[in-house]
This record gives sequence, C-alpha cells and structure tokens, in this order.
Amino acid sequence: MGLNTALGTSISGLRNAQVGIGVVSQNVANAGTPGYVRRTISNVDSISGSTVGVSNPNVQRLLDRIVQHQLLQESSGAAYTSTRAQVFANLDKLYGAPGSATALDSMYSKFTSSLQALQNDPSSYTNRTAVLDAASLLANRLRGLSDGVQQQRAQAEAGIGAAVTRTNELLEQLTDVNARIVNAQQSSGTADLRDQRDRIISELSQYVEIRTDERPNGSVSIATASGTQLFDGRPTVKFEFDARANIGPQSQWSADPAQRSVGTIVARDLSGNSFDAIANNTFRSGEIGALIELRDKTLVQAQKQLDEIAAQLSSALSDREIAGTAVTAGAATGFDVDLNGLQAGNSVTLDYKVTPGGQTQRFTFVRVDSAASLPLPASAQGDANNRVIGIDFSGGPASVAAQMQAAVGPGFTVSNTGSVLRIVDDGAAGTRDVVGLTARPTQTSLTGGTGELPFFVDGRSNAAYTGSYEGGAQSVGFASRIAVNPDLIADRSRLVIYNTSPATPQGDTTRPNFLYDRLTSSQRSFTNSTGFDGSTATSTGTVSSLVQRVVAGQGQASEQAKRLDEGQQVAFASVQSRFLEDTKVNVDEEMSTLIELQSAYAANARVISTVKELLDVLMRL
Amino acid sequence: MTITATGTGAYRLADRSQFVSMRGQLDDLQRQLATQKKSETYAGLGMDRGVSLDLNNKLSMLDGYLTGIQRADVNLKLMTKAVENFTKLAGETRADARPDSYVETSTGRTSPQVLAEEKFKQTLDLLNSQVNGRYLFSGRTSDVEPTVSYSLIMDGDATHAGLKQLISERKQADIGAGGMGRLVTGGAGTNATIAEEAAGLPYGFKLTGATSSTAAMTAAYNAGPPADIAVNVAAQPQAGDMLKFALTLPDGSTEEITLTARAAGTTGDPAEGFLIGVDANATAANLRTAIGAALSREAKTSLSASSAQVAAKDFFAGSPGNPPLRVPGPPFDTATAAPAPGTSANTVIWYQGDDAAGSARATASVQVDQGQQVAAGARANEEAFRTGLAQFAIMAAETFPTTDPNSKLRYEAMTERVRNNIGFAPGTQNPSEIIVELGSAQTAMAQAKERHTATKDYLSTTLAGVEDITKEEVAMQILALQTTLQASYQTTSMLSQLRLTNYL
Repeated sequence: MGLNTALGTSISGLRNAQVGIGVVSQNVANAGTPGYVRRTISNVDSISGSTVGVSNPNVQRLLDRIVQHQLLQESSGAAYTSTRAQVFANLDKLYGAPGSATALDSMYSKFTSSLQALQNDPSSYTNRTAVLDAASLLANRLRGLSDGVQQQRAQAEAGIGAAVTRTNELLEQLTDVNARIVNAQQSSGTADLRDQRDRIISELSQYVEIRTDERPNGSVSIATASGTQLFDGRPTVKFEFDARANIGPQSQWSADPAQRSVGTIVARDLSGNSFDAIANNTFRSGEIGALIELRDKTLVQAQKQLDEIAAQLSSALSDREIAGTAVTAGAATGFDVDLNGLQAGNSVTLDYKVTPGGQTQRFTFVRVDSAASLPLPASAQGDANNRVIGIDFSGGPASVAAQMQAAVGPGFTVSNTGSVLRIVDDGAAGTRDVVGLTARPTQTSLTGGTGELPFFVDGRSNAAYTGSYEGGAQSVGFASRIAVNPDLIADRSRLVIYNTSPATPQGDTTRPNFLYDRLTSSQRSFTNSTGFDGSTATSTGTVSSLVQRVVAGQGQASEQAKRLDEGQQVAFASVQSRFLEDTKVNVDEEMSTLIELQSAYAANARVISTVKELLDVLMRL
Repeated sequence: MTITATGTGAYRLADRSQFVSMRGQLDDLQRQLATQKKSETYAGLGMDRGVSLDLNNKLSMLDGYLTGIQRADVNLKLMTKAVENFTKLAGETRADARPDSYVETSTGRTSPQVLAEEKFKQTLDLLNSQVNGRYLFSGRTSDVEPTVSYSLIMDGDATHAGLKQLISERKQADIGAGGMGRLVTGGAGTNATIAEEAAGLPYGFKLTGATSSTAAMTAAYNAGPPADIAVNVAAQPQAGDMLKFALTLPDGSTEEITLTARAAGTTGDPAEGFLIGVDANATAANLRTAIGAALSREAKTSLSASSAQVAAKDFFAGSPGNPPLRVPGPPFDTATAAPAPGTSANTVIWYQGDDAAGSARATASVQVDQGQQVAAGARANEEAFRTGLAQFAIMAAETFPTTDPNSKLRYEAMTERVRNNIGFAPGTQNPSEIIVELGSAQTAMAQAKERHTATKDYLSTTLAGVEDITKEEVAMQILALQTTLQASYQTTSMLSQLRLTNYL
C-alpha cells in the first residue's frame, strides 16, 4: 500500500466528513420542523483497485416502520374519538347545567310544580298563566334541543363534505410526491420527499383509517382498514359527497337513493365504477367515520329520545283511558270496548294471562288508516311481553276484528257489534285469561267532560298529537314541532273547565289533579326507540322518570365519549412519543457527532499533511 | 409527565399537551371556585348525575308543596278568623234577642234589630272575603263572589223578589184570607168547631189536640185529615174551667190556646176567655167568639213569626242550582199547593257560589304531599251560616209599629224563635265545627310543612355534596397543581439551558 492509497483514503474520509457535517447541520436546522425525520449517514468501505476508501456516503432517514404504522392507526382513532367527544360535549351542554333553571329536567319540574300550584288554587289567573308559561318554556326547550341536535347533524354533514374534499386533495398531492420518490429512488435526495409523503399520509390517516405498504421501488400503496384500495401510485378511487343543505329530523341516510335525504359518499374507481362507501362501511374510524356515525346513529338516537319525551308528554295529557266492560259469553269471559273516537296512531291494549298463573302479557293494537302504513316501523315494535301490531281501520269494524283475531291467534275470540269490540278468552279450555281491554283515544277538543285535553299540539297542523303512522310516523321530529295548544293560550280557563254545560266551576280541581297525576304518577310504556342502556325492550315509567333517564343517559354517553377520547389521546401520545424518540433530532447527539466528524476531518487532514511531509522528504532526497 | 430527551434544543416535553391539559385543569378549578359547582354539565357529574337529577326533581316538588302550604295557610287563617267573627256576632244577637226587650220606637225597630242588620251586613262581608282574587267561601267557583248585596237580599229589585217579599207571601199564605191561620170556626147551639181549611194544606196552623178541664164541656179532637175539634157545652161550666187547643206552627213550634170560662159580668182578655152565658147555648156562642179572637191573635203573632222563620229558611236554602221555595200565587192567602222553587229570573238567589253535592270542605284542597290532600274549602251556604244569616235577616226585616196592638206579642214570638235558632240547636251545624275542621287542616299542613322542611334540608345538603365543591378541596387541588406546574416549568427551563452547544 503506497502513500497514494493513504492519500486517496484520506480524501474520501474528508469528503465523508463533509457530508456528515452537512447532515448534522441539516438535522440541527430542522430540529423544530414537524414531521422531520432525523437523517444519518451510513458509510460503505469500497475497494476499487488498490484504493480502499469510504465512499457513497448514504443519507438515511432513521425511523421505525412498525411504530409509524401504529401511529397512523392511533391518529385515525384519536380523530374519531375526539370528534365524537366534541359533539357529545356540545350536546351535553344543550341539556343545561345541573340544577340550573335552563336544564331540561328543571324546566320539566317547573311545569309539574306549576300544575301542583294550579291544583291548590285552580281559579287563580296567575297560576293558570304560570302553567302555560312553564309549558311554553318546556316546549321551547324541546324545540331548541331538537334544533341543536339537528344543527350538530348539519355540521356533521358539512364536516363530512370538507373531509371528503380534503381526502381527495391529499390523494392527488400524494401522486406527485410518490412519483418523484420512485424516479429519484437511486439518488440520495429522497429523504425530503419521503418526509413530505409521510406528512400527507399522516394527515390522511386523520380522516380515514389506513394501512400503508411500501413497494420495493419506493412507491407506496394505501388501503383503508376495511380493505378498499385508495392509492397505488395514483389514487384508485375518488370520493364524491352530495351534501344536503336542509337537515331535519326526517332526514335519514338510506342505502336506497330514493329514500335518502342526507348526503352519502360515493367512491368512483378508475374505470368509472362506483359504490356507496357508507353502505360498504368503508369509513370505520377517523374523522369521517366519526361524523357518519354521529350523523346517522348517535344524533338520530338523541333526537328520538327528545321525540319520545315530547310524544309522551303530549299523549299523557291528551289520551283518554277507556277501560272495557266485563262480559261473559257462555263459559268465556272477556271485555267489550267501544273503539269509536280512536284516531290514527291511538292504541287498544289487550292484557291477558296464559293460565294457569302466568305473567300478564299484552297485545297493543295501533290504528292505521291505510294498508300502506303497515307494517309499523321498527321503532314502534314492542317486545315479547308487549307485541305491537298495526291494524288497518279503513275496512270497517268487522275487518278490524278479523285482523285482531288473526294477530292474537286461537285462545281468544274477537268479535264486534258496530264499533264495539269484544275480546273473550277460550272459556272452558282455560288456556287464556283476558284481564283487560283498554282503548286510548286522543281527546281533540279542550272541553268534553273529561280531564284529558290536547295540551300540546303538533306545530305542523296545530292539531292534537295522536302518534299517527300515516305518511311517516308523526313521532319523528315531534320534539321540533311541539307547541302549547294556541286555543288553550287564548282561553286559559280551559285548564280547569272541562265541561261547558253544566259549566265546570272555576275552582274545580278535577282537571289540574288529572294533569298532575298523569305526569308524575301514571305508568306509561316507552317505545323501544329510546334504547336506554342499549336495551331494545319497551320499558315503563312515569313521564318524569323518562325525562330524568334521557338527561342522565345523555350525560352518561357524553362522559363515556370523553373517557374514550382521553384514553385514546393517551395511547396516541405514547405512540407519538415513541415515534419521536426515534425520529426527533437530539441536538446534543448531533453536537457530539459534529465533534467526532471534526476530529475525523482533522485526522484525515493530518494524514494528508503527513503524506505531504513524507513526499516532501522523498523529493528532497 | 414523561420528559424525553428529544426535540428542539436539548430537552422538551414529549407531549406539549400535558402543559395545556394542566392549564385546562387549572382553569376548570378556577371556574369551580367561582361557581361553586363541580360541573357545568351532567356528564361532568359522573355517576352522581342520577342522584342530582332525582334530588333536583324532589326538591322542586317539595318547594311546590311548601309554596302551596304557605299560600293555603294564609287562606285558612283568614277563613278561621271570619268564622270566629261570625260566631261572635251570632252570640251577641242571641244575647240581644230577649223577649222582654221590646221597646216602642218611632221606626218600629228595636235596637237589637238595628244591630242585627249591621251584623247581617258584616257577615256578608266576612263571607265575601277574598285573597288574591280568590273568594274563600265560594266553594269551587272561587272566582264568584258568593253572596249578593244586602239591599238585593232584603228588597230584591224590579224583577227579583227579595227576602221581605218572600216573608210577606208566606205570611199571607199562613194567615189566610180569614186571618185565622187557615182554620175555619163554626158551630151552632151548644157546639163550637175548629177545622183545618183543607186536608194536607201546607200552610197555617195544624190542630194537634184539644182538652177540657171539665165534664161540662167536651172537646173532641179528630185527627182527620183534615183535623178538626168539636166542643160541646153540655152543661154550664164553672168559672175557671178551661179549654185547651194545641196547635203546631209551620216552623215546627207548638202553641196552646187556653180559653178560661169567666163568670158573667167579669171582664178579661177576649182572646183568653169567655163569659158564661145564661144557658149552655149562650155560653157556646161566647166560646165561639173567643175562639175566633184567640186564633186571630195567635195568627198575627206567633204564626206570623213562624212564617218569617220558614220563609227565611227557604230563602237562604236557595242556591243557583236550587232556587228558593216560594208560595205559589198570587193570590197567596188562598194558596193550597205546596211551596215550589222559584226561578233565578223572579227570585233573588243570595248565594252565587258552588252548590254541588258533597262536603263544603272538599271544594278546595291543598296537595301537601304526594298522596295527601288537605281539604280546605268552605261555602257561604253552609248550614251554620244560613241559620245565622236567616236569624239576622228576620230581625232586620220585621217592623213593629206602635199602632199595632199585637206588636209586643209578635216581637216576643220573633225573639223567642231567633234566640232558639241562633243558638245552633244540637243536630244542626255549629260554626265551631267549621273552625275545628279548618283547624285540623291547618294542623295537617303544619305537620307536612315541618316534614318537608326537614326533608328539604337533608336533600339540599345531599345535593350540595353531589353538585357543589368543597372550597378547601379545590383550593388544595389548585395549590398542588400550581406546584406541579411550576416545577415542570422550572425543570423544563433548566433542562433547556443544558445544551452541549453552550460548552463548545
């Protein structure tokens, strides 16, 4: 090995140290740049001919691929939970601060206490006004809450639109960066491009839960967690979102485009084929997934709970309970009840026991006025102990009895005399015992000899709420339309006077007592659409308890969303911290590398100078 | 907090959000101190939210009960006061209405009568008491003033007959055209007869018996109907021999007419005795005259007072759904049909309030607890008030002119009846019964109030435990957080100074 070899090696060492110092300076300069991944150089010994050198200093990005994949996953999870937590927190705020005058439950309590005051002094104008004021405030609150829920849905709709647009943009940007990485694969300049690509992918992961896969040529392919290919050198799908402007309680997503009244995401592939990404469940997590879930499930559920409160509040005050009169037909016993006055949506309940000594079970027959309204929507269905059956009344009383007979099966005999329905058990056979038959027609006028009155009306028609299923369930979005009967506001004496001839005395407590009892002590069946605690069974309770359960349930859900988000953020932070540990620039480390490189440079220079001295000595010989 | 040796400069927090979240916690604690509430939303209350909802609802209910009790308490106190006053007024009138208090006056009315008129007016005012537009003695129709005015009650108006008119009609019907209380006298020879005008006549005297103190005169009573009495002077009676006829009056009181035989040539009250004539026929003729005079005087005095009682009783029994009974007529003095209800178009109905069936107390109630209603109603037409008002009204309505020779006797007949009735005979409602009932309502309310206040205190404390912060705890948390935050800042700052760069 001659001096020349030493000289050559030293020169390559110098070059190497220069590159190293360059990388150190780049690392130090970019120490604060987000998404910057620390670079290192790897040296390769090269022997070309007789020269042994340090050549091809290769600048490499230092990162852990597994941690990076985890980070992408956690970041979409974090976007999902934080979006949900945010909306839940907003929703929870709508329900008001605990114990404050604006909280839904306080307003409800105020309404019941005003009725309580009215009981004590029914003739007082002040008390009557107080009842109507409290009722109006409560109705307003329900409408306000309902509007709030729908606003959140509209925001979710807009959010989906923005997120979809951004996703498309990111995929486009990725195409360009990705192509340049593939082209520059052999040169050392890809590190910056890779940083940029990672930044784009990481933003994409906030919207969609993705998996990335790097090809040998440096190109990246991206698929959603659900398996839809998004990108492979170029975007393989383009998302389209047809945002709708007016989102209301009736606006629902459906796989059937004719029934859909909110936007859906259509994914269109390169060959122009398209599929509904929401129906395909493409977005399970990430911001888009969260927004879709909020818009189509969570907030819809919140609206249903409000609707249930509004519907129960209305029906409790307006539905008469007409108990059947006992009859015997031979050995069979049962009841007669007059179905006259039953309106669309009103129900007749048949309580029976499977003898001997069985539990009381119930059939609920709901009036509908056309066969088109059958079968009843899923939200109206009952459970094993309370089967809810729609009965088409358009065919007259005989047809009604026939439909009921078909529904209850043998063991009962259903017959009619005009509008009077008779249901008796099977007498001597003793397999069924009819214990009650009750019709619940809605009182539609303010007077008429009973305590019931249409206190609240459906703002759409200013008519009493009957829970009709004609042309869509009346209960849907009722919370956004509930209003105090304007006729009652115009003549508030109707809060007390239930009969005009003979006129009810102004101080009569019958009606105030009735209204108060119906709200605070009458047991009512709630439809399964309220879905408390994930249960789908119908449940019973007072209207007061329903209000409390809804508010508590909402608080519970909100708290749960918050906890979930907190947990997810911790997980995200820890993965992020692990990722940073690998990728972030440690200036101290860089400085020590610098010292190292500096000494290496000095040493190499020293070798060159030594070689020079040796050569000089040689020359002087 | 993890500190990782990576990042800008030398050291920095792995997660900047840690600082942010600590600042957030600090802000929340500050809010808690300011509002004294743990959370602004139900979500923030955690598992206690159910308790908070339930307690808030219970407290609201208790507040409702307490407000109701408080308002009703005012009403009940006023009602009790009114009834107590009425009792006092009735007592005074009872003391005033002494039969011997008759004094001739130019107006025809004695001072107890003038006082009774004032008491009547005062009672009407008491019964019309109202609180916040709510009439306390009007039953369910608490918006209706229960009684009409004094002058309307007494005198009526152009189309409506008042109490005086009804009394007058009844008097005419009872006294009859003959002036002898619808009795007919007759007889010839040694006989003298008294008979009721017709069978089952609802007016006038009813004959209930006759006795004679001597065998010389026989008095035969035939229960009829119509009842009659036949006296036969079989032989000349001795002076001092007596005939007694028992009469029942329309108000249920009884009178006895005693006719004493006087020796010829003596003088005496023609309505109390008869002269013994020359023979039985002449004695019988004298007896017949005496019977006429006695019946006529009795009709003008006790029967008249009795009529007033019946008429006043009927008048005050009237209510909107049940107008007072009136004598059919005119003519009234020959009326034979039983009194029939008038109409609201022709008769004053003194009580305008609620008159539905059932107890007056049940006409208003106070919900003092979930299942406890206290009855606290009252009606101006309760029996005790009706009785009192009728007696005051009779005293106020009657006049006793000095020109009427029967004035003193009539006054005595009136006061005797007023005295008996206004003492609230056993078996009729006494105003003290109303006071006792209202008092027990007050007691029930006071007990409920005590119970509710105690429960409310307890629930409020519990609710405060759920919703409110403990100042000390929050202050401690703030201090701890402040220390941690300061230490973190300090450490971070110190670590950031530690750079190799500084030592190169």
